[in-house]
Amino acid sequence: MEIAFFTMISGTSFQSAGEFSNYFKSYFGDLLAQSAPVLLLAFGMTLVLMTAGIDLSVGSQVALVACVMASFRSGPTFWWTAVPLGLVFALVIGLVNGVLIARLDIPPIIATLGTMIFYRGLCFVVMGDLEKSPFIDVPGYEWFGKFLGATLVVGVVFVLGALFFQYSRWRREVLMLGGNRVAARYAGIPVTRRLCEVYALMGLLAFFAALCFTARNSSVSASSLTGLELQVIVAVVLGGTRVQGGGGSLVGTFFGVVIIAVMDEGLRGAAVWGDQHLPFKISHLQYLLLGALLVTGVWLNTRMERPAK
Amino acid sequence: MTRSFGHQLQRSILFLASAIFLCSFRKIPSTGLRGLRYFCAVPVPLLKLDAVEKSFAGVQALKLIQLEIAAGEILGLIGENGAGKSTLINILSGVHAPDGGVIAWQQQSVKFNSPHDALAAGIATIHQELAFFGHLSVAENMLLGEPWPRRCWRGVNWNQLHAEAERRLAHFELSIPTRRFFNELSSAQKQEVAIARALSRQARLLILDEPTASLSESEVERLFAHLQRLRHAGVAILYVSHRLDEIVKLTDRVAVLRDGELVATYPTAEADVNRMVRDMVGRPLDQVYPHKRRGAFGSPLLELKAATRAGMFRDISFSVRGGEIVGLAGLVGAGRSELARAVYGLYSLDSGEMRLNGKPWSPRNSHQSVTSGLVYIPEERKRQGLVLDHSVGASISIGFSDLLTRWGLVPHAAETRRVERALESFAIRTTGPAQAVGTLSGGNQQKTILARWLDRYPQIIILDEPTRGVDVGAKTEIHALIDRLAGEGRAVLLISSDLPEVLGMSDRLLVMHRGSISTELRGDDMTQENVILAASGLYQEAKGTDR
Amino acid sequence: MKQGPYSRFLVQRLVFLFVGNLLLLLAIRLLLRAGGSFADVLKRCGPDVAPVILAGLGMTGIIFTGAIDLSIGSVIVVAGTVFGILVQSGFGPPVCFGASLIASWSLSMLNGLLVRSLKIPAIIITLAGLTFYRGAALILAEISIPNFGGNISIPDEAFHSPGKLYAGRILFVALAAALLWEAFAKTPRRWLALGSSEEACRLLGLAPGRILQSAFFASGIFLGLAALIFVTRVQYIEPARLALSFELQVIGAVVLGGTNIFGGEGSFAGTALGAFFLYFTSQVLTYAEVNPYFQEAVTGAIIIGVIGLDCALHRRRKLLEELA
Repeated sequence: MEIAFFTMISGTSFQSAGEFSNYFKSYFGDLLAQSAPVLLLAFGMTLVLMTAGIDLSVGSQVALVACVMASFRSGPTFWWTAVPLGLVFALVIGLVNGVLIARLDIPPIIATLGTMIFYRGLCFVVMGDLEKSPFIDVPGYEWFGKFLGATLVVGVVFVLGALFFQYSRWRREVLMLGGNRVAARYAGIPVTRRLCEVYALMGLLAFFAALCFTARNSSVSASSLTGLELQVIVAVVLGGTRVQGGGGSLVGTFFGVVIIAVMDEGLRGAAVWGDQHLPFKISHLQYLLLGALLVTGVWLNTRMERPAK
Repeated sequence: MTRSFGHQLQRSILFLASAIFLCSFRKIPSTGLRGLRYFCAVPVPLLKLDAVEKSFAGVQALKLIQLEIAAGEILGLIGENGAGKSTLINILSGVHAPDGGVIAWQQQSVKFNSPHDALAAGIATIHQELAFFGHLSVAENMLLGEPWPRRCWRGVNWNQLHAEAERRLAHFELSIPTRRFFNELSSAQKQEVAIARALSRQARLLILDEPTASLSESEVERLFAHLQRLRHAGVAILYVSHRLDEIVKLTDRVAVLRDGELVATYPTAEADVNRMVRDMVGRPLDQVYPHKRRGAFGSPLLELKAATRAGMFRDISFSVRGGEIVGLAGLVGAGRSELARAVYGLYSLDSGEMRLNGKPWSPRNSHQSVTSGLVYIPEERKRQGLVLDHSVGASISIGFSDLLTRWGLVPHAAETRRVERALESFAIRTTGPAQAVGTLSGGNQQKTILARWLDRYPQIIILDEPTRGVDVGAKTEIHALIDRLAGEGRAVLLISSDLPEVLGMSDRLLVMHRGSISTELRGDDMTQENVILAASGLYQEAKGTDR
Repeated sequence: MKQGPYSRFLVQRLVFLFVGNLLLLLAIRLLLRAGGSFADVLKRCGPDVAPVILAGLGMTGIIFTGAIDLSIGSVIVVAGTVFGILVQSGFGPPVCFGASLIASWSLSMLNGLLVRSLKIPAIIITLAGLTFYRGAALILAEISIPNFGGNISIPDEAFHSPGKLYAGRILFVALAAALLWEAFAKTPRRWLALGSSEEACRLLGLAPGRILQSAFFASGIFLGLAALIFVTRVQYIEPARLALSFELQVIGAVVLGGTNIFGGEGSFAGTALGAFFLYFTSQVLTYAEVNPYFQEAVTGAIIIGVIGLDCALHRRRKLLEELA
């Protein structure tokens, strides 16, 4: 059944089970390395949605961090100049979101809409029209773009994060302030600090995402990664996290990203077939599928919640 | 002459007959009855419920309700929380559709699919939670559901609209500026606009759900006078309240709901408060408060000196000692809750000083208060206390799980143990810790919040209206709990608008009037009359004339 | 005490924007060197700012109800693609204009219908619409135009009249109509009511679904006009690039204009002033010969700055209201 599914979406056929398993390995390795940024960001976005917020600026954040890192000199020194500075910078831009939302009380969608434009603008300030690729000459850097490195980063973040998250008090506080902000204040939860922490964490994850992205693509320009936030939000919502806050699951998010990634890969794989048989580029179907999946996902979420009430 | 007399008689009979005939076409205002039927109206029920039932998610909320309301009758509806009063109101006002049974409205079976249908049929409802639009004017709030006065090209004639709203408010002897935005009104004014809106609907049945929650005595009097006037005009009124004294004073007949069943209906004249309580609870209940006043207390745990916050309270000084229950009475809006929130660290003081355990106390946020052993149980549990779709277990453990954490992680076993112990010791009736807290009854929700905090063993507990909207049984349990807390040597500050409660439970009573403490009452001075006098700022005056 | 339809907050915001616009105009006047004429600046402002204001008026109505429409950029793309296809197939200008109007209006209605019937927050539906409609436009163009190379060329000047010649006039008429309508109609008040409390609407016997639909209906008309100007002022219609992040500009203008993003409070006049404010700011940057790469960052910073300042000023009061 699964074989049939993959055959269908990837447009190739297999002669034997062995070939399939090889294909399967490389397919999934590639898939994971490809979707590592989305996975990392989706992890953070799940938390953000739990606080009844949203972060539209993730794509710009990753691009900005990558641009800032790309403006450093290549070579081994890159490791102790660009990387730590990129990390700090990412935390700062995440924290800026947090401060705007928690301290100034700007509605999250507006604040991050503004920072989405602002950070993207900063990308152009840093890069101009250039496309830079200092990452190729950094020794060992491309490891993060390969299956092993990407898996390690994603795995560490997800497993450690999920474990901590599942059993921490922090999570309950975040959930409570997402479910009812006023009640959270009355319950002695430091709401402002928690919100800042959540958005700063988003920045941190944007740094890791930038690491994986630049290691794989090895070059970056000011307009890289536009529209990434949509993919991330769709993945999280497909995973069962509701947009009104107060609930959500990381495991669900993981599967949400997998669905998006498989769809993406499938369409790419089917390009040749599509060019022969369809009057349009099959990759454009991605737009339609993303939209349809988003609506279906949220609709299913609300359908499943309704009987409980 | 005689012939002409007969002639005249004939003519006058003819005239009378035609007058009555013509009359029958004229609508008598406020009843909507056509004239002739108004004269020879047989007391048929205006509304008749026959075997109406309703269940939610398998739980039967209403069981085979038989109820009649006649025109010109005030029917009181009482019952504990969760007895099904809200469900019944929601069915009558078209919010919910019944699962079974027949609703006969003016002797015709009807089916209300939406609140609009009910309104169109002549049933107006004032819901407990006020449903209004903050950024629209008072006039718009009152008239939005009706056609508006227009001028050329269907443009709204704003002046006429405001004049109409003013006229309706004036009819209810209110003068509220109709151009003000609704969210700029005081809570009593909001309540009054709600009442005026429903009353001006020319309804034949008026449903009021706890309409006096934020009204003062005189405003309640005015409401009652108006309800009586409506009754004489033939409007039926369904009055729902927890305040039994109001029920006795106002209603003609009382219907008692218990566990979704209509257990009794009787004329109010035949019943007294004790009987009503008995029927509501299903067992006799003595109105004895468990608290025995003690003389000796510990050291002062909370002290305030000249605490002031502009626009909320000023010059507040008092102290609460360990083992003492200090009551804080006063009218709604006197600044009691605001004072409590300032002590809890949600508001800052403009001037003055607070001390906690003898040390200066100026909390930056509520987090600091909780970790310092001061907790506050807010008055609106749904909005300020709980996330309704979170589980009971999570709602409880959020209060104390920071005490259990190691490296930020909460040990699952210890947490479960404490939650289960809390469920047991506070007698919270649930299907288990995983049940959504929003599905509990009001009393159990309140106990959930109490359990959240009390398992921390705080030194100072501020309770804000702990038994508002809580059924009689749970009320007694909460009272016993408060007494136990004081017995363990903790300091309790009890804010309540329920006079018998605050009198029965406190060792000492502070009465607030317009932002400052007008009077402190102790011992035999603690009577309802004195509290009412002090709450309206008349205590000193009255005592002065006595001497 | 007499009180108008706007709260003190809104009046403050309108005055701020009005004065700000005048100052920005003054700055442009001063920055103009020899060779530039101030009248030209004002003339050009019609085609440039009209789409934002027109779409903004529709968006304001939708935001009044507490909903939002993120898909407007993509709706314009669909309208443009339909327009381009019809032009290429040899239809006359009236047919093409009409078709693009109808296309955007019906997509807006579709958004409203979906929000109503699926009971999903509008932000999600229209976020999906944002990607869906653009994809649909691309596929539509590829299917109907042989050898589609990414853009549709509209060489005939007859098809450019609304965008290039009449934009200012269309804007003026539509804006005047919208302001009059706001002052004298009941429907916008219903939208505000829905935005402040859906529950209250239902209890009052108003049908929330119908009110929401009417907001999308009106928005569709304004959006149609915006799309008409947008697609007729360019020489090439490029479905993949046209009107990218247009919705952000529009929402920025609406929020800058003082409309509460969660609904229940706001004004059409504010939206228009907000759109002018953003446009004049970008013009000032251009005339001051600021590096074009800085422009986007500055625009973002202004949106955040103004809204942030506003939220920070109201924070104390809001917090008190929330806690009470």
